[in-house]
Amino acid sequence: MSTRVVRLAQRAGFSAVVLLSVTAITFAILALSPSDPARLLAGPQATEAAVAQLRVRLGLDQPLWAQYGAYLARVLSGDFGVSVQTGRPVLEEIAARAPATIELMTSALIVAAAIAIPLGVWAARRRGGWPDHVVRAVSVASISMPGFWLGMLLVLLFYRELGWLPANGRFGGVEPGGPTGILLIDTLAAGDAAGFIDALAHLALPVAALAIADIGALARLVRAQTLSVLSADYMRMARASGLSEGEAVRHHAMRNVLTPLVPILALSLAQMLYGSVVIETTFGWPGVGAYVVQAIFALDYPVILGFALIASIAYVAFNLAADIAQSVLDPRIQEAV
Amino acid sequence: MRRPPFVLYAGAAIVAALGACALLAPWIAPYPPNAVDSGMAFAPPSATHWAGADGLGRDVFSRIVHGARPSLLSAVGIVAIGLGGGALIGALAALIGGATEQIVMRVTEIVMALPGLVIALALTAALGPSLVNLTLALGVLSIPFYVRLVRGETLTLRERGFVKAARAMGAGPLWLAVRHIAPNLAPVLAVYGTMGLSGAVLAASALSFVGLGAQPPMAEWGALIFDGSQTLLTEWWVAVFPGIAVALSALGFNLLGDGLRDWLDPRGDA
Amino acid sequence: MSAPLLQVADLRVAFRSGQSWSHAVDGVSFDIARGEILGCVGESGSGKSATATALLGLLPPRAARVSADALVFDGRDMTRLSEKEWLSLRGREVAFAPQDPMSALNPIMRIGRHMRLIQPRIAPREAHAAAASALQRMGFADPETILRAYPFQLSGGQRQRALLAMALLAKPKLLIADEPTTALDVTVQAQILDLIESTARADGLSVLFITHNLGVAQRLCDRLIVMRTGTIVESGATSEILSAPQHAYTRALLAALPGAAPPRTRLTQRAAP
Repeated sequence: MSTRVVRLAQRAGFSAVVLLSVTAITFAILALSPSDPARLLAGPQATEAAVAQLRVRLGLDQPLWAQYGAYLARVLSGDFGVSVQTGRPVLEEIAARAPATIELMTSALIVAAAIAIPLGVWAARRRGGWPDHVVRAVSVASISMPGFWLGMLLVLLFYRELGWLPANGRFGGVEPGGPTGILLIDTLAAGDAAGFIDALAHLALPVAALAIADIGALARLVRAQTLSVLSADYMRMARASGLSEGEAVRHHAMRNVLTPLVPILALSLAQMLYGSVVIETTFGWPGVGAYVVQAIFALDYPVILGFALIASIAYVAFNLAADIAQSVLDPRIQEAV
Repeated sequence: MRRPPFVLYAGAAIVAALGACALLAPWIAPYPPNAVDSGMAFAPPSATHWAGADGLGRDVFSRIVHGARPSLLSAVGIVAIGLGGGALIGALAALIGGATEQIVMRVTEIVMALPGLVIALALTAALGPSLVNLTLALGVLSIPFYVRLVRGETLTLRERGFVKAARAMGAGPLWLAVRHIAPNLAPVLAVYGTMGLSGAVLAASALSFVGLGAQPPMAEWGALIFDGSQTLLTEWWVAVFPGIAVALSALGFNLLGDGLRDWLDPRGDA
Repeated sequence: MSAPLLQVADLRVAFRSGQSWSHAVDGVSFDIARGEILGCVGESGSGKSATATALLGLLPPRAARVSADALVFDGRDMTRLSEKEWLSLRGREVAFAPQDPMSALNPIMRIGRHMRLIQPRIAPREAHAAAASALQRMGFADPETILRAYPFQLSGGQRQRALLAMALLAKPKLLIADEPTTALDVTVQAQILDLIESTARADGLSVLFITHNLGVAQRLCDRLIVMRTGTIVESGATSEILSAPQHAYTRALLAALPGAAPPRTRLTQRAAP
């Protein structure tokens, strides 16, 4: 037990250092940016003297390290600044849009894993055969595909030509309110079958566009991992003790293939955090990503940096969670050796 | 030496074709990239405009061909900054060792624990949206990846006889890095650099697509796709054709990198 | 005298290397009687392991080719077995003890689950009891602890004994042991050899014991075959081979033994069961 606790404590400590570094980086970027919070707050009509006065009141005349200290204190108390466009707190704005992004990212991760894992295992079990070549071709194509562009092709085919799927937004009518903000869960909880199907239909194309790049990368990793597991001594032993190939794969190989994937999936989720920025724009998905792109065009720095900060926190949290999950799944980490 | 695998030729052919477009754009493209012809606004693909025309009547094909220059140049710039900076820092850290190496590796570890592309996005926005700033941001944030790669490889090389001999004769870290480490790392760096180009093309076009890169009227692939996305449902060609260029160059670099790896290191299997 | 349990005549195993095939086993013939321990001695690359793998039907069909004039196990022609028939043979009638006990157990699976998986048609409670008693026979005083343990929690000797317990769980007729003691230290080696020998003597188990170590073979085996580059260079009773080796290669292997020529008296004792 003790090794596990020490290991996790080390990881948590490292995460704290990373998060502190993030605040330093976002603060530095904010300092680099041409935005002047005093001018923004005072408004374009304010006189130069009034702005200077405000600058003193905001502490902007202080040395940089003192400003960083104040920034850190604000961030720790949940104050991520105020959007220039709307005048509302950044955290509030992002939180309001987070469920849409979480729903999109999680669905894409599930779809990517559900496709990539069987593909990778299949390729490895038929190594050198045609499935292996097909999977290799598919993965090269998928990692070369700009997701936002693939999204447009999907819109043209499934919306414009076939009319099967919607291409814009999360929901056909007014979004049903719900406790989680995740439409699939809310509609399901409310027993609203039509709403559930509508939400699912709206998810289909953006999820496909977001998942595509991951499918290729994941399938490659799964294939390599499966190959190494299939040639392991314990697999030979399993076959020699009378297990069929299928049983040996199912009982002995799968968990050894999947456990090392946990941290990889956390990285994929983080990758999607970024992918969602472009994909949400393509599909008019009312999430954090599309909001950030609006902020970029408006040069709304507090929003951009608030997003960077929150995305970093999420990223660090995913990795930490993956570490904990892996230590639960792998008995070698779980207990003292 | 083994015969190079087929994918190497395929990748090299694609990359060569795109490189030719970048170098010879004015001779290959039938029109200047910014030649406005209001009579041809949103002309669909035809014999005169192979990929159609955009809202200002500019020839989409010509803009794609000219777009190869900024698009590929920024990808090369990103990898040059990341790989060049990373290789130098990584090799020197491994050769100097001690506290320097410790500090470099801690910083690398921290930066790698951050969502690089998101930070690059914020950094580009702060520096001011432009293709140069985007290239700088993506390049700098890819440095840690190469630092880790090169440091690991250098640590292995450091124990080899010829490096030990050179050290014994008093060679300094910089000399060692340039004369002994770099030539031995060249194959590995060629593989990772080529694959890095694929990621760089995709990342740069994505950031340009959301307005952080090339500004109008520059013909850059990501910006062209953004232009076209405004009228996707009615004039699909404006967005679809530039995307083919992005996908094709990412594919070319990936195939070339895959082929190089298979060729240089036939044991590797991934 | 009944027919031997295993009859091998002119066994050949070829592996594909590029376009051509290279013979790892090139015309090997031997018998194993019921209850007999046959040692198969040779250096790595002599074809020992390929022979063992062929007898388990585990050579990859596309990359390896097996042929034999006769390959008869307990009256059945092994060259004509379907995969389904192999499945009922492997682990049940022909068992395997591997070389490296460290890697032969799934690192993230408890020993109990390993043993449960190889008794699929038996009710859980009976399977558990059978596993526990198999472990007990292999010298584990507290089998329940072992069943709950992960491989990394056991020592090398414990793992090998657990693997032997797994191998002998279904009371097989033939045990193929591929250098089962090579990875272990000397005292543990002796324990494993004793366990194999006592099981063979008590249950009439036949053993094909593969080793590169003549000292180990001498301790355990009734008869020896000495293999080199895919063929048998010498065979006979252990005592005869060790006291009067006919082939230069056998003499070289003997000379390589630490402590050189072993005491003859002990050999004669061992040779007559």
